[in-house]
Amino acid sequence: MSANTESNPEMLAGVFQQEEAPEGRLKVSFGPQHPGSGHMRIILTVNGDIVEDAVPDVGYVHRGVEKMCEYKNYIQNIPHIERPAIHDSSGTIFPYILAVERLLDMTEKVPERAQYIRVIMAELNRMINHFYFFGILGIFMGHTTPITWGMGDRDYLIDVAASATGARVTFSYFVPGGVRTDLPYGFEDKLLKTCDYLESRIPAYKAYLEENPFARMRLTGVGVIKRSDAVALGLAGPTLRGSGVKSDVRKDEPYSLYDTLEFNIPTREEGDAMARMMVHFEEVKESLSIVRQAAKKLRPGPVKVPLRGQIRGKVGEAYARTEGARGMNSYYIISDGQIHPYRVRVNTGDSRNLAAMRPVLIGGKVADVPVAHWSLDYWPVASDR
Amino acid sequence: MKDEELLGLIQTKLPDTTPSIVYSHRLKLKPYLEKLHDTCSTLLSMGFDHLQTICVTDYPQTGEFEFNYIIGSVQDSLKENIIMVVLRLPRARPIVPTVKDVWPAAVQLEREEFEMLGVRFEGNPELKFLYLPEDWNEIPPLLKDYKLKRWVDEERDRHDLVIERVEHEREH
Repeated sequence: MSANTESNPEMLAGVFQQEEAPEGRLKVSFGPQHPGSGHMRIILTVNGDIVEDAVPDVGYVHRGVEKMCEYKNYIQNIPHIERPAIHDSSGTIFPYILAVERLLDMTEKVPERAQYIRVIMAELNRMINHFYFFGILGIFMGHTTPITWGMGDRDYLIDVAASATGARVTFSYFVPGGVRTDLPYGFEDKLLKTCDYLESRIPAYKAYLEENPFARMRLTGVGVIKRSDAVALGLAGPTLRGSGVKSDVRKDEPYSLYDTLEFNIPTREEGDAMARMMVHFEEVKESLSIVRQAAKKLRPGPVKVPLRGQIRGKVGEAYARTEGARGMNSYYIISDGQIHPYRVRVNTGDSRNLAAMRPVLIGGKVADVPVAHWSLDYWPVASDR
Repeated sequence: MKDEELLGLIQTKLPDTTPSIVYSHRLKLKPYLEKLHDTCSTLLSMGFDHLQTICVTDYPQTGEFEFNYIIGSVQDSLKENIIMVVLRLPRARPIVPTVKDVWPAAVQLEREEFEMLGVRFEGNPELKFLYLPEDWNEIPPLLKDYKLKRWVDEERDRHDLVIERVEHEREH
Protein backbone atom coordinates (compact mmCIF):
# COMPACT_ATOMS: atom_id res chain seq x y z
CA MET A 1 0.00 0.00 0.00
CA SER A 2 0.94 3.57 -0.66
CA ALA A 3 3.76 2.27 -2.76
CA ASN A 4 4.59 5.64 -4.24
CA THR A 5 5.36 7.30 -0.93
CA GLU A 6 8.59 5.42 -0.38
CA SER A 7 11.59 7.33 -1.58
CA ASN A 8 11.93 5.61 -4.89
CA PRO A 9 14.84 7.26 -6.70
CA GLU A 10 13.50 6.18 -10.07
CA MET A 11 10.25 7.99 -9.42
CA LEU A 12 11.60 10.98 -7.50
CA ALA A 13 13.94 11.67 -10.37
CA GLY A 14 10.84 12.77 -12.23
CA VAL A 15 11.20 15.26 -15.00
CA PHE A 16 12.72 17.92 -12.79
CA GLN A 17 16.13 16.32 -12.82
CA GLN A 18 18.59 18.56 -14.62
CA GLU A 19 20.79 15.83 -16.00
CA GLU A 20 23.36 16.70 -18.60
CA ALA A 21 22.15 16.85 -22.15
CA PRO A 22 23.72 14.31 -24.53
CA GLU A 23 26.79 15.35 -26.51
CA GLY A 24 26.03 18.13 -28.98
CA ARG A 25 22.45 18.58 -27.72
CA LEU A 26 20.84 21.32 -25.68
CA LYS A 27 18.08 21.01 -23.11
CA VAL A 28 15.55 23.82 -23.24
CA SER A 29 12.84 24.43 -20.69
CA PHE A 30 9.90 25.71 -22.70
CA GLY A 31 7.80 27.34 -20.00
CA PRO A 32 6.22 27.46 -17.46
CA GLN A 33 6.70 31.24 -17.43
CA HIS A 34 7.01 31.50 -21.19
CA PRO A 35 3.73 32.84 -22.56
CA GLY A 36 3.88 30.34 -25.41
CA SER A 37 3.56 27.27 -23.23
CA GLY A 38 0.55 27.97 -21.04
CA HIS A 39 0.61 26.82 -17.43
CA MET A 40 2.96 23.97 -18.17
CA ARG A 41 6.42 23.41 -19.47
CA ILE A 42 7.90 21.21 -22.12
CA ILE A 43 11.45 19.97 -21.66
CA LEU A 44 12.91 19.99 -25.14
CA THR A 45 16.13 18.27 -26.18
CA VAL A 46 17.22 20.05 -29.32
CA ASN A 47 19.89 19.27 -31.87
CA GLY A 48 20.38 22.55 -33.68
CA ASP A 49 16.90 23.49 -34.79
CA ILE A 50 15.41 19.99 -34.58
CA VAL A 51 13.50 18.75 -31.52
CA GLU A 52 14.80 15.31 -30.57
CA ASP A 53 12.79 14.81 -27.41
CA ALA A 54 9.93 16.64 -25.77
CA VAL A 55 8.70 15.76 -22.29
CA PRO A 56 5.59 17.63 -21.16
CA ASP A 57 5.83 18.60 -17.49
CA VAL A 58 2.30 19.31 -16.32
CA GLY A 59 0.56 19.79 -12.99
CA TYR A 60 1.29 23.44 -12.27
CA VAL A 61 -2.43 24.16 -11.99
CA HIS A 62 -3.64 20.87 -10.49
CA ARG A 63 -6.26 21.60 -7.82
CA GLY A 64 -7.61 18.20 -6.91
CA VAL A 65 -11.11 18.61 -8.32
CA GLU A 66 -11.78 14.88 -7.94
CA LYS A 67 -10.92 14.97 -4.24
CA MET A 68 -12.92 18.15 -3.63
CA CYS A 69 -15.96 16.52 -5.24
CA GLU A 70 -16.00 13.89 -2.49
CA TYR A 71 -16.38 16.59 0.16
CA LYS A 72 -19.10 18.75 -1.39
CA ASN A 73 -22.68 17.90 -2.20
CA TYR A 74 -23.98 17.43 -5.71
CA ILE A 75 -25.00 21.08 -6.15
CA GLN A 76 -21.92 22.60 -4.51
CA ASN A 77 -19.79 20.68 -6.97
CA ILE A 78 -21.13 22.58 -9.98
CA PRO A 79 -19.21 25.87 -9.67
CA HIS A 80 -15.83 24.45 -8.77
CA ILE A 81 -15.88 21.77 -11.47
CA GLU A 82 -16.25 24.33 -14.22
CA ARG A 83 -13.75 26.84 -12.85
CA PRO A 84 -10.76 25.39 -14.75
CA ALA A 85 -12.49 25.80 -18.11
CA ILE A 86 -12.68 29.48 -18.90
CA HIS A 87 -13.29 28.67 -22.55
CA ASP A 88 -15.92 25.96 -22.25
CA SER A 89 -17.66 26.02 -18.89
CA SER A 90 -20.98 24.66 -20.19
CA GLY A 91 -19.25 21.80 -21.99
CA THR A 92 -17.30 20.89 -18.86
CA ILE A 93 -20.30 20.75 -16.55
CA PHE A 94 -22.67 19.10 -19.04
CA PRO A 95 -21.62 15.45 -18.52
CA TYR A 96 -21.51 15.92 -14.75
CA ILE A 97 -25.12 17.08 -14.82
CA LEU A 98 -26.14 14.16 -17.06
CA ALA A 99 -24.45 11.68 -14.74
CA VAL A 100 -26.06 13.20 -11.65
CA GLU A 101 -29.46 13.11 -13.36
CA ARG A 102 -28.89 9.41 -14.04
CA LEU A 103 -28.16 8.86 -10.34
CA LEU A 104 -31.30 10.82 -9.40
CA ASP A 105 -33.43 8.83 -11.91
CA MET A 106 -34.57 11.97 -13.67
CA THR A 107 -32.96 11.61 -17.10
CA GLU A 108 -36.37 11.36 -18.76
CA LYS A 109 -37.96 14.14 -16.70
CA VAL A 110 -35.90 17.11 -17.87
CA PRO A 111 -38.25 19.55 -19.69
CA GLU A 112 -37.85 19.98 -23.43
CA ARG A 113 -37.25 23.72 -23.16
CA ALA A 114 -34.41 23.14 -20.71
CA GLN A 115 -32.82 20.63 -23.08
CA TYR A 116 -32.83 23.07 -26.00
CA ILE A 117 -31.50 25.86 -23.78
CA ARG A 118 -28.68 23.51 -22.80
CA VAL A 119 -27.95 22.84 -26.47
CA ILE A 120 -27.84 26.58 -27.19
CA MET A 121 -25.49 27.26 -24.28
CA ALA A 122 -23.23 24.32 -25.15
CA GLU A 123 -22.95 25.49 -28.75
CA LEU A 124 -22.36 29.11 -27.72
CA ASN A 125 -19.54 27.85 -25.54
CA ARG A 126 -18.19 25.78 -28.41
CA MET A 127 -18.00 28.88 -30.57
CA ILE A 128 -16.51 30.93 -27.71
CA ASN A 129 -13.82 28.28 -27.39
CA HIS A 130 -13.17 28.05 -31.12
CA PHE A 131 -12.70 31.82 -31.50
CA TYR A 132 -10.40 31.73 -28.50
CA PHE A 133 -8.49 28.83 -30.03
CA PHE A 134 -8.22 30.70 -33.30
CA GLY A 135 -6.83 33.80 -31.57
CA ILE A 136 -4.36 31.94 -29.36
CA LEU A 137 -3.02 29.77 -32.15
CA GLY A 138 -2.67 32.85 -34.36
CA ILE A 139 -0.76 34.87 -31.80
CA PHE A 140 1.72 32.03 -31.29
CA MET A 141 2.33 31.95 -35.02
CA GLY A 142 3.24 35.62 -34.68
CA HIS A 143 0.09 36.93 -36.34
CA THR A 144 -1.84 39.66 -34.58
CA THR A 145 -4.90 39.55 -36.84
CA PRO A 146 -6.47 36.34 -35.45
CA ILE A 147 -6.19 37.37 -31.82
CA THR A 148 -7.89 40.70 -32.41
CA TRP A 149 -10.60 39.17 -34.60
CA GLY A 150 -11.06 36.09 -32.45
CA MET A 151 -11.23 37.91 -29.12
CA GLY A 152 -13.48 40.60 -30.57
CA ASP A 153 -16.01 38.23 -32.10
CA ARG A 154 -15.89 35.97 -29.06
CA ASP A 155 -17.04 38.90 -26.94
CA TYR A 156 -20.37 39.18 -28.79
CA LEU A 157 -21.06 35.54 -27.91
CA ILE A 158 -20.04 36.13 -24.31
CA ASP A 159 -22.47 39.07 -24.13
CA VAL A 160 -25.31 36.83 -25.32
CA ALA A 161 -24.43 34.10 -22.83
CA ALA A 162 -24.01 36.63 -20.02
CA SER A 163 -27.46 38.06 -20.64
CA ALA A 164 -28.93 34.64 -19.84
CA THR A 165 -26.60 33.48 -17.10
CA GLY A 166 -25.34 36.62 -15.39
CA ALA A 167 -21.70 35.60 -15.71
CA ARG A 168 -19.23 36.13 -18.50
CA VAL A 169 -16.94 33.14 -18.20
CA THR A 170 -18.07 30.42 -15.82
CA PHE A 171 -21.83 30.32 -16.06
CA SER A 172 -22.85 27.64 -13.51
CA TYR A 173 -26.06 27.59 -15.53
CA PHE A 174 -26.81 23.88 -15.77
CA VAL A 175 -28.31 22.25 -12.70
CA PRO A 176 -29.67 18.72 -12.21
CA GLY A 177 -33.18 18.79 -13.65
CA GLY A 178 -32.75 21.65 -16.08
CA VAL A 179 -31.15 25.07 -16.15
CA ARG A 180 -30.91 27.64 -13.36
CA THR A 181 -33.16 30.36 -14.74
CA ASP A 182 -35.27 30.95 -17.81
CA LEU A 183 -33.96 33.01 -20.70
CA PRO A 184 -34.47 36.77 -20.37
CA TYR A 185 -36.92 38.73 -22.51
CA GLY A 186 -35.47 39.44 -25.96
CA PHE A 187 -32.80 36.74 -25.73
CA GLU A 188 -33.73 35.02 -28.99
CA ASP A 189 -33.53 38.24 -31.01
CA LYS A 190 -30.14 39.00 -29.57
CA LEU A 191 -28.98 35.46 -30.24
CA LEU A 192 -30.12 35.40 -33.85
CA LYS A 193 -28.65 38.87 -34.55
CA THR A 194 -25.31 37.69 -33.19
CA CYS A 195 -25.51 34.57 -35.36
CA ASP A 196 -26.17 36.72 -38.43
CA TYR A 197 -23.21 38.91 -37.59
CA LEU A 198 -20.88 35.93 -37.14
CA GLU A 199 -22.14 34.41 -40.38
CA SER A 200 -21.08 37.60 -42.14
CA ARG A 201 -17.60 37.31 -40.59
CA ILE A 202 -16.96 33.80 -41.92
CA PRO A 203 -15.61 34.85 -45.36
CA ALA A 204 -12.93 36.97 -43.66
CA TYR A 205 -11.75 34.04 -41.54
CA LYS A 206 -11.89 31.75 -44.55
CA ALA A 207 -9.75 34.16 -46.54
CA TYR A 208 -7.22 34.33 -43.72
CA LEU A 209 -6.95 30.54 -43.53
CA GLU A 210 -7.00 29.72 -47.21
CA GLU A 211 -5.38 32.67 -48.92
CA ASN A 212 -2.81 34.04 -46.49
CA PRO A 213 0.44 32.32 -47.54
CA PHE A 214 2.05 32.84 -44.11
CA ALA A 215 -0.79 31.13 -42.30
CA ARG A 216 -0.68 28.25 -44.79
CA MET A 217 3.08 27.89 -44.46
CA ARG A 218 3.05 27.87 -40.67
CA LEU A 219 0.16 25.42 -40.33
CA THR A 220 0.46 22.94 -43.21
CA GLY A 221 2.40 19.79 -42.45
CA VAL A 222 3.07 20.75 -38.82
CA GLY A 223 2.28 18.32 -36.01
CA VAL A 224 0.94 15.48 -38.14
CA ILE A 225 -1.01 12.73 -36.33
CA LYS A 226 -1.93 9.62 -38.29
CA ARG A 227 -5.43 8.22 -38.01
CA SER A 228 -4.34 5.00 -36.31
CA ASP A 229 -2.21 6.90 -33.78
CA ALA A 230 -5.04 9.28 -32.99
CA VAL A 231 -7.35 6.41 -32.07
CA ALA A 232 -4.71 4.41 -30.20
CA LEU A 233 -3.63 7.41 -28.12
CA GLY A 234 -7.27 7.97 -27.19
CA LEU A 235 -7.42 11.53 -28.54
CA ALA A 236 -10.71 13.37 -28.63
CA GLY A 237 -12.60 16.17 -30.27
CA PRO A 238 -11.34 18.29 -33.17
CA THR A 239 -7.88 16.74 -32.81
CA LEU A 240 -9.34 13.30 -33.50
CA ARG A 241 -11.55 14.56 -36.32
CA GLY A 242 -8.62 16.45 -37.84
CA SER A 243 -7.01 13.04 -38.36
CA GLY A 244 -9.97 11.69 -40.28
CA VAL A 245 -11.90 9.90 -37.52
CA LYS A 246 -15.60 10.66 -37.70
CA SER A 247 -16.32 10.52 -33.99
CA ASP A 248 -18.59 12.96 -32.18
CA VAL A 249 -20.61 12.09 -29.08
CA ARG A 250 -23.43 14.38 -30.25
CA LYS A 251 -24.04 11.90 -33.08
CA ASP A 252 -22.66 8.69 -31.56
CA GLU A 253 -24.77 8.72 -28.43
CA PRO A 254 -27.15 11.69 -28.77
CA TYR A 255 -28.02 13.49 -25.55
CA SER A 256 -30.21 16.49 -24.79
CA LEU A 257 -32.27 16.21 -28.01
CA TYR A 258 -29.27 16.58 -30.33
CA ASP A 259 -30.86 13.83 -32.42
CA THR A 260 -33.70 16.21 -33.38
CA LEU A 261 -31.26 18.71 -34.90
CA GLU A 262 -29.52 18.45 -38.24
CA PHE A 263 -25.80 19.01 -38.44
CA ASN A 264 -22.67 17.51 -39.96
CA ILE A 265 -19.43 16.36 -38.39
CA PRO A 266 -16.58 18.04 -40.24
CA THR A 267 -13.48 15.89 -40.63
CA ARG A 268 -10.14 16.26 -42.39
CA GLU A 269 -7.77 13.55 -43.52
CA GLU A 270 -4.42 15.37 -43.31
CA GLY A 271 -4.01 15.31 -39.51
CA ASP A 272 -1.81 18.43 -39.38
CA ALA A 273 -2.32 21.77 -37.64
CA MET A 274 -4.05 23.18 -40.72
CA ALA A 275 -6.55 20.30 -40.70
CA ARG A 276 -7.33 20.89 -37.04
CA MET A 277 -7.74 24.61 -37.63
CA MET A 278 -10.13 23.93 -40.53
CA VAL A 279 -12.15 21.50 -38.40
CA HIS A 280 -12.60 24.23 -35.80
CA PHE A 281 -13.62 26.68 -38.48
CA GLU A 282 -16.17 24.29 -40.00
CA GLU A 283 -17.52 23.48 -36.54
CA VAL A 284 -18.30 27.14 -35.93
CA LYS A 285 -20.52 27.08 -39.03
CA GLU A 286 -22.26 23.92 -37.82
CA SER A 287 -22.74 25.42 -34.35
CA LEU A 288 -24.37 28.51 -35.86
CA SER A 289 -26.82 26.25 -37.67
CA ILE A 290 -27.51 24.20 -34.50
CA VAL A 291 -28.13 27.34 -32.44
CA ARG A 292 -30.61 28.65 -35.01
CA GLN A 293 -32.49 25.35 -35.17
CA ALA A 294 -32.62 25.04 -31.38
CA ALA A 295 -33.83 28.64 -31.02
CA LYS A 296 -36.68 27.85 -33.43
CA LYS A 297 -37.69 24.82 -31.37
CA LEU A 298 -37.92 26.73 -28.09
CA ARG A 299 -41.48 26.57 -26.76
CA PRO A 300 -42.76 28.21 -23.58
CA GLY A 301 -42.66 25.89 -20.61
CA PRO A 302 -40.81 25.02 -17.43
CA VAL A 303 -37.01 25.07 -17.48
CA LYS A 304 -36.31 22.76 -14.57
CA VAL A 305 -37.69 20.06 -12.38
CA PRO A 306 -37.76 21.58 -8.90
CA LEU A 307 -35.54 19.71 -6.46
CA ARG A 308 -36.52 20.10 -2.85
CA GLY A 309 -34.23 19.59 0.11
CA GLN A 310 -30.86 17.88 0.07
CA ILE A 311 -30.51 15.60 -2.95
CA ARG A 312 -29.02 12.13 -2.63
CA GLY A 313 -27.90 9.94 -5.49
CA LYS A 314 -29.14 6.36 -5.48
CA VAL A 315 -26.53 3.71 -4.71
CA GLY A 316 -24.85 2.92 -7.98
CA GLU A 317 -22.75 4.38 -10.74
CA ALA A 318 -23.15 6.53 -13.81
CA TYR A 319 -20.87 7.24 -16.73
CA ALA A 320 -21.86 10.18 -18.89
CA ARG A 321 -20.02 11.74 -21.80
CA THR A 322 -20.64 14.75 -23.97
CA GLU A 323 -18.80 16.43 -26.80
CA GLY A 324 -17.13 19.45 -25.26
CA ALA A 325 -15.46 22.11 -27.37
CA ARG A 326 -12.02 20.56 -26.92
CA GLY A 327 -13.04 16.96 -27.05
CA MET A 328 -15.06 14.37 -25.24
CA ASN A 329 -15.63 15.22 -21.58
CA SER A 330 -16.63 12.30 -19.42
CA TYR A 331 -17.59 11.84 -15.79
CA TYR A 332 -17.76 8.56 -13.96
CA ILE A 333 -19.57 9.00 -10.65
CA ILE A 334 -19.99 6.39 -7.93
CA SER A 335 -22.64 7.10 -5.35
CA ASP A 336 -23.14 5.39 -1.99
CA GLY A 337 -26.43 7.10 -1.23
CA GLN A 338 -24.93 10.06 0.61
CA ILE A 339 -25.38 13.75 -0.14
CA HIS A 340 -21.98 13.87 -1.83
CA PRO A 341 -20.48 11.53 -4.43
CA TYR A 342 -18.26 8.66 -3.27
CA ARG A 343 -15.89 8.97 -6.19
CA VAL A 344 -15.81 11.20 -9.25
CA ARG A 345 -13.48 10.48 -12.14
CA VAL A 346 -13.14 13.45 -14.43
CA ASN A 347 -11.71 13.08 -17.89
CA THR A 348 -11.60 16.07 -20.17
CA GLY A 349 -10.72 16.17 -23.85
CA ASP A 350 -7.73 18.31 -22.98
CA SER A 351 -6.12 15.64 -20.82
CA ARG A 352 -6.68 13.07 -23.59
CA ASN A 353 -4.95 15.29 -26.12
CA LEU A 354 -1.92 15.64 -23.83
CA ALA A 355 -0.99 12.09 -24.88
CA ALA A 356 -0.25 13.35 -28.38
CA MET A 357 2.08 16.14 -27.26
CA ARG A 358 5.30 14.15 -27.23
CA PRO A 359 4.92 12.27 -30.55
CA VAL A 360 3.78 15.45 -32.30
CA LEU A 361 6.72 17.60 -31.20
CA ILE A 362 9.51 15.07 -31.77
CA GLY A 363 11.17 15.59 -35.13
CA GLY A 364 9.77 19.06 -35.65
CA LYS A 365 11.50 22.42 -35.59
CA VAL A 366 11.79 24.61 -32.50
CA ALA A 367 9.84 27.40 -34.20
CA ASP A 368 6.96 24.97 -34.80
CA VAL A 369 6.66 23.94 -31.14
CA PRO A 370 4.07 26.61 -30.17
CA VAL A 371 2.06 25.98 -33.32
CA ALA A 372 1.93 22.21 -32.89
CA HIS A 373 1.36 22.54 -29.14
CA TRP A 374 -1.58 24.96 -29.42
CA SER A 375 -3.14 23.22 -32.39
CA LEU A 376 -3.71 20.15 -30.20
CA ASP A 377 -6.63 21.64 -28.29
CA TYR A 378 -4.79 21.18 -25.04
CA TRP A 379 -5.69 23.56 -22.25
CA PRO A 380 -3.47 23.00 -19.18
CA VAL A 381 -5.97 24.17 -16.56
CA ALA A 382 -8.78 21.90 -17.74
CA SER A 383 -6.33 19.06 -18.22
CA ASP A 384 -4.76 19.29 -14.76
CA ARG A 385 -8.15 19.65 -13.05
CA MET B 1 -25.17 -2.20 -31.67
CA LYS B 2 -28.12 -3.11 -29.48
CA ASP B 3 -27.27 -3.98 -25.89
CA GLU B 4 -28.75 -7.50 -25.99
CA GLU B 5 -26.99 -8.28 -29.24
CA LEU B 6 -23.63 -7.13 -27.85
CA LEU B 7 -24.28 -9.00 -24.61
CA GLY B 8 -24.83 -12.20 -26.58
CA LEU B 9 -21.68 -11.62 -28.60
CA ILE B 10 -19.60 -11.08 -25.49
CA GLN B 11 -21.11 -14.11 -23.76
CA THR B 12 -19.88 -16.31 -26.61
CA LYS B 13 -16.44 -14.68 -26.93
CA LEU B 14 -15.72 -14.04 -23.24
CA PRO B 15 -17.87 -16.56 -21.39
CA ASP B 16 -16.20 -16.39 -17.95
CA THR B 17 -16.47 -12.60 -17.50
CA THR B 18 -20.13 -12.57 -16.34
CA PRO B 19 -21.26 -9.66 -18.55
CA SER B 20 -24.26 -7.62 -17.44
CA ILE B 21 -26.09 -4.46 -18.51
CA VAL B 22 -25.71 -1.55 -16.07
CA TYR B 23 -28.10 0.68 -17.98
CA SER B 24 -28.58 1.55 -21.63
CA HIS B 25 -25.35 1.25 -23.66
CA ARG B 26 -23.28 0.47 -20.56
CA LEU B 27 -22.05 -3.11 -20.25
CA LYS B 28 -20.02 -4.40 -17.36
CA LEU B 29 -17.54 -7.30 -17.50
CA LYS B 30 -15.89 -8.82 -14.47
CA PRO B 31 -12.87 -10.85 -15.55
CA TYR B 32 -10.43 -12.58 -13.21
CA LEU B 33 -7.12 -10.84 -12.70
CA GLU B 34 -5.26 -13.47 -14.76
CA LYS B 35 -7.69 -12.99 -17.65
CA LEU B 36 -7.61 -9.15 -17.62
CA HIS B 37 -5.09 -8.77 -20.41
CA ASP B 38 -6.72 -11.43 -22.61
CA THR B 39 -10.11 -9.83 -22.08
CA CYS B 40 -8.77 -6.46 -23.15
CA SER B 41 -7.11 -7.93 -26.26
CA THR B 42 -10.36 -9.66 -27.23
CA LEU B 43 -12.29 -6.42 -26.78
CA LEU B 44 -9.80 -4.62 -29.01
CA SER B 45 -10.20 -7.28 -31.70
CA MET B 46 -13.99 -6.84 -31.43
CA GLY B 47 -13.57 -3.13 -32.25
CA PHE B 48 -13.36 -1.43 -28.87
CA ASP B 49 -10.34 0.68 -29.75
CA HIS B 50 -10.85 3.88 -27.76
CA LEU B 51 -9.86 3.65 -24.09
CA GLN B 52 -11.69 6.52 -22.43
CA THR B 53 -10.99 6.32 -18.71
CA ILE B 54 -9.37 4.19 -16.06
CA CYS B 55 -10.95 4.78 -12.69
CA VAL B 56 -9.62 3.24 -9.48
CA THR B 57 -11.77 3.55 -6.38
CA ASP B 58 -10.72 2.96 -2.80
CA TYR B 59 -13.02 0.93 -0.54
CA PRO B 60 -11.39 0.85 2.91
CA GLN B 61 -14.54 -0.69 4.47
CA THR B 62 -14.06 -3.91 2.50
CA GLY B 63 -10.30 -3.49 2.11
CA GLU B 64 -10.43 -3.43 -1.66
CA PHE B 65 -9.57 -1.37 -4.70
CA GLU B 66 -11.94 -1.38 -7.65
CA PHE B 67 -10.34 -1.00 -11.05
CA ASN B 68 -12.63 0.16 -13.82
CA TYR B 69 -11.51 0.38 -17.44
CA ILE B 70 -14.04 2.32 -19.50
CA ILE B 71 -13.73 1.57 -23.19
CA GLY B 72 -15.54 3.02 -26.19
CA SER B 73 -15.12 2.70 -29.89
CA VAL B 74 -14.82 4.82 -33.01
CA GLN B 75 -16.17 2.02 -35.25
CA ASP B 76 -19.50 2.92 -36.83
CA SER B 77 -21.39 -0.08 -35.45
CA LEU B 78 -20.14 0.25 -31.85
CA LYS B 79 -20.04 4.03 -31.39
CA GLU B 80 -22.78 4.20 -28.78
CA ASN B 81 -21.59 1.26 -26.68
CA ILE B 82 -19.41 1.58 -23.61
CA ILE B 83 -17.76 -1.41 -21.96
CA MET B 84 -16.65 -1.29 -18.34
CA VAL B 85 -14.09 -3.89 -17.36
CA VAL B 86 -14.22 -4.08 -13.59
CA LEU B 87 -12.13 -6.02 -11.13
CA ARG B 88 -11.61 -5.82 -7.40
CA LEU B 89 -8.27 -6.44 -5.72
CA PRO B 90 -7.22 -6.53 -2.07
CA ARG B 91 -5.93 -3.21 -0.80
CA ALA B 92 -2.72 -4.83 0.39
CA ARG B 93 -1.59 -5.84 -3.09
CA PRO B 94 -3.05 -3.55 -5.75
CA ILE B 95 -0.98 -4.70 -8.72
CA VAL B 96 -2.42 -5.29 -12.19
CA PRO B 97 -0.68 -5.86 -15.53
CA THR B 98 -0.54 -2.83 -17.77
CA VAL B 99 -2.76 -2.69 -20.86
CA LYS B 100 -0.54 -0.21 -22.69
CA ASP B 101 0.20 -2.70 -25.44
CA VAL B 102 -3.53 -3.03 -26.10
CA TRP B 103 -4.36 0.69 -25.91
CA PRO B 104 -1.34 3.05 -25.84
CA ALA B 105 -3.64 5.62 -24.24
CA ALA B 106 -3.35 3.58 -21.04
CA VAL B 107 0.17 4.84 -20.32
CA GLN B 108 -1.05 8.24 -19.17
CA LEU B 109 -4.30 7.06 -17.56
CA GLU B 110 -2.45 4.43 -15.51
CA ARG B 111 0.08 7.05 -14.49
CA GLU B 112 -2.69 9.29 -13.16
CA GLU B 113 -4.23 6.50 -11.08
CA PHE B 114 -0.81 5.41 -9.83
CA GLU B 115 -0.01 8.81 -8.39
CA MET B 116 -3.48 9.48 -7.00
CA LEU B 117 -4.10 6.06 -5.39
CA GLY B 118 -0.73 4.34 -5.17
CA VAL B 119 -1.80 1.33 -7.24
CA ARG B 120 0.75 -0.36 -9.47
CA PHE B 121 0.49 -1.24 -13.14
CA GLU B 122 3.13 -3.85 -13.89
CA GLY B 123 5.01 -3.13 -17.09
CA ASN B 124 4.13 0.54 -17.41
CA PRO B 125 7.46 2.39 -17.82
CA GLU B 126 6.03 5.83 -16.97
CA LEU B 127 4.94 5.28 -13.36
CA LYS B 128 6.05 8.61 -11.91
CA PHE B 129 4.23 11.71 -10.75
CA LEU B 130 2.31 13.62 -13.40
CA TYR B 131 0.24 16.21 -11.54
CA LEU B 132 1.56 16.01 -7.98
CA PRO B 133 4.65 17.99 -6.94
CA GLU B 134 7.92 16.05 -6.97
CA ASP B 135 8.42 16.49 -3.22
CA TRP B 136 5.00 15.08 -2.29
CA ASN B 137 5.72 12.79 0.65
CA GLU B 138 2.25 12.06 2.02
CA ILE B 139 -0.01 9.17 1.14
CA PRO B 140 -1.64 9.28 -2.30
CA PRO B 141 -4.34 11.95 -2.12
CA LEU B 142 -7.34 10.08 -3.52
CA LEU B 143 -7.16 7.35 -0.87
CA LYS B 144 -10.01 7.63 1.60
CA ASP B 145 -7.40 7.76 4.39
CA TYR B 146 -6.25 11.13 3.13
CA LYS B 147 -8.52 13.62 4.82
CA LEU B 148 -8.92 16.95 3.09
CA LYS B 149 -10.40 18.46 6.23
CA ARG B 150 -7.30 17.71 8.29
CA TRP B 151 -5.13 19.45 5.72
CA VAL B 152 -7.39 22.49 5.69
CA ASP B 153 -7.37 22.68 9.50
CA GLU B 154 -3.59 22.44 9.65
CA GLU B 155 -3.21 25.14 7.03
CA ARG B 156 -5.61 27.38 8.91
CA ASP B 157 -3.75 26.84 12.19
CA ARG B 158 -0.50 27.71 10.47
CA HIS B 159 -2.11 30.80 9.01
CA ASP B 160 -3.48 31.84 12.42
CA LEU B 161 -0.05 31.41 13.96
CA VAL B 162 1.47 33.71 11.35
CA ILE B 163 -1.21 36.33 11.99
CA GLU B 164 -0.69 36.05 15.76
CA ARG B 165 3.04 36.54 15.34
CA VAL B 166 2.58 39.58 13.10
CA GLU B 167 0.19 41.17 15.56
CA HIS B 168 2.53 40.38 18.43
CA GLU B 169 5.40 42.07 16.62
CA ARG B 170 3.26 45.05 15.78
CA GLU B 171 2.40 45.58 19.44
CA HIS B 172 6.05 45.89 20.39
